Amino acid sequence: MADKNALQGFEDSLTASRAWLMDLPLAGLRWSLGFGSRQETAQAAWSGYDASVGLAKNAIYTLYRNPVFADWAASNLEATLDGLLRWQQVGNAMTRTLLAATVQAADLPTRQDVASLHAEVALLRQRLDEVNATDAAAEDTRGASAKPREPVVTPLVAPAPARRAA
Amino acid sequence: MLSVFNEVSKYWLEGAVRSLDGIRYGLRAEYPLDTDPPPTTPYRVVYQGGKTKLRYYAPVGQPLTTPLLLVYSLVKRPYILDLMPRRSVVETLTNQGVPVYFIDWIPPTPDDTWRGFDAYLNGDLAAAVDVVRKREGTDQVSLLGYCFGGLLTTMYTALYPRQVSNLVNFTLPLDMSVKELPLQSLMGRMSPAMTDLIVATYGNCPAWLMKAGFEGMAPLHHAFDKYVGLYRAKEQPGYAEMFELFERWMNSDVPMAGRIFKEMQEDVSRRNLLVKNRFQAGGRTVDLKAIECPVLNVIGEHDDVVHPKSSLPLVDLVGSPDAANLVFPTGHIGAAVSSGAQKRLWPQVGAWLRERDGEVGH
Repeated sequence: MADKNALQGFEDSLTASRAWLMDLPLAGLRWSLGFGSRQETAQAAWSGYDASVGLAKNAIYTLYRNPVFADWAASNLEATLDGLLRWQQVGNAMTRTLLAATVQAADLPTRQDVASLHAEVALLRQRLDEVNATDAAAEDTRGASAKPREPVVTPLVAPAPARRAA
Repeated sequence: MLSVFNEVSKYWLEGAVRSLDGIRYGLRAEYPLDTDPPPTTPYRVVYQGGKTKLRYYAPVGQPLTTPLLLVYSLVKRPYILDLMPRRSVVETLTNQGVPVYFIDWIPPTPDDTWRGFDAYLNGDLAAAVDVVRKREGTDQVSLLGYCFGGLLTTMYTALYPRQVSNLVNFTLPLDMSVKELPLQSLMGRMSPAMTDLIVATYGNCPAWLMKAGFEGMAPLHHAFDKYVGLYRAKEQPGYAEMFELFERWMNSDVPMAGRIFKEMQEDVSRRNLLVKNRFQAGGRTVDLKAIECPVLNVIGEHDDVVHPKSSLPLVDLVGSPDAANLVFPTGHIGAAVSSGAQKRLWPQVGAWLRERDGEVGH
């Protein structure tokens, strides 16, 4: 694997050097003089780009596999994470304290209060549904046995005109 | 030259937005599952319990008698295995007559920090296997695990050998003493105190930390090379659509439950206990020699997330006389989405399953 990577790195460095130092300037010159094409120049540039990226990736890969670098990276990462996480803990604790104090000072409902209210509303809704269902059933039973009721008509009475003061 | 720069910058900005969205979703107490793209292959959710949603994908054509339970990893959303037509492992397998069940792990919430390998193996996975067996009226199921999901299927098969007919893994991170790759190397070097600190601070391992770990392995690719690649291939039919979906998946990191993260870090990765047959889940030792069913271990030759050397030892560690490695010239994710894998790799897996279909025992 290591040999394969080294060989790939060598090939990439050769290709990149050739593309940037020879192919691209030559293609550019030919294009500017009217012999070459834009496509040929672009192809030379992309070939240089591919080889350069390949070379860089290979270098990173080799670096990562190096035990000295890996130790250094791991210890640095740990130190950074350690600091970050401890600050995060401080931040979390401060946020919790501040929030608790604000909730208490402003007499705001807590999460538990809201949750219990939700539960209570749900229960009331359920009971209302049950009561409605019972009423509807009773209405149906009555409706089936009783004669159809005459509609109750309430006579409209015009309000008496206000008496004028003498 | 200017147009290249402009377009690549535009792609980069779109990528940055996707990345920030991904981080934002991962920070929520409950991961928004409705952000998944629509499925390629139609399915029905046949069971939901614990941290699992069990999907069922009906087979096409002459069906196999033994159903296949696909166990996905715990680190991202699972739609990479059903990404788009002709780039879907699920579609390729169902088209070969395999009845596929698929575990969609529900990302853990802050109340799930206690969940370790015991909860996932002896709880969720065991329940899912029971549901599949009951639904299909079979004694055994075949298991297929992807990456971390492969660890779960391997451990489950070792713990419950009578329930499993065939075991297929692909890109399985098994031997953690292999330090060829940066992630394995770095995980092995991380001190137990750091793992404790992460869990003490966040409860679960946060999604952004997982994302940083994965993207840190190929920084150049994620920083700009993939956007340059999109610029160069945008004219290819379907490329831009696939890039978009793939990037969505790349940014779909979910948190990992605190306890399983700790066990993975300490016991599986740093102490390499699974390979030594000393790993314990729920008080029971996971002995790989107990795996006696046929085993197919699919390995990506160019896998840069799980080194092939890490997966290769499985066939020697299990007790099965019918265990083989299948090395395919692909990468870690290419094994799931590349058109080459759909044309050549997964038909081989389907044929392997069909050859062993209906063989009960072990």
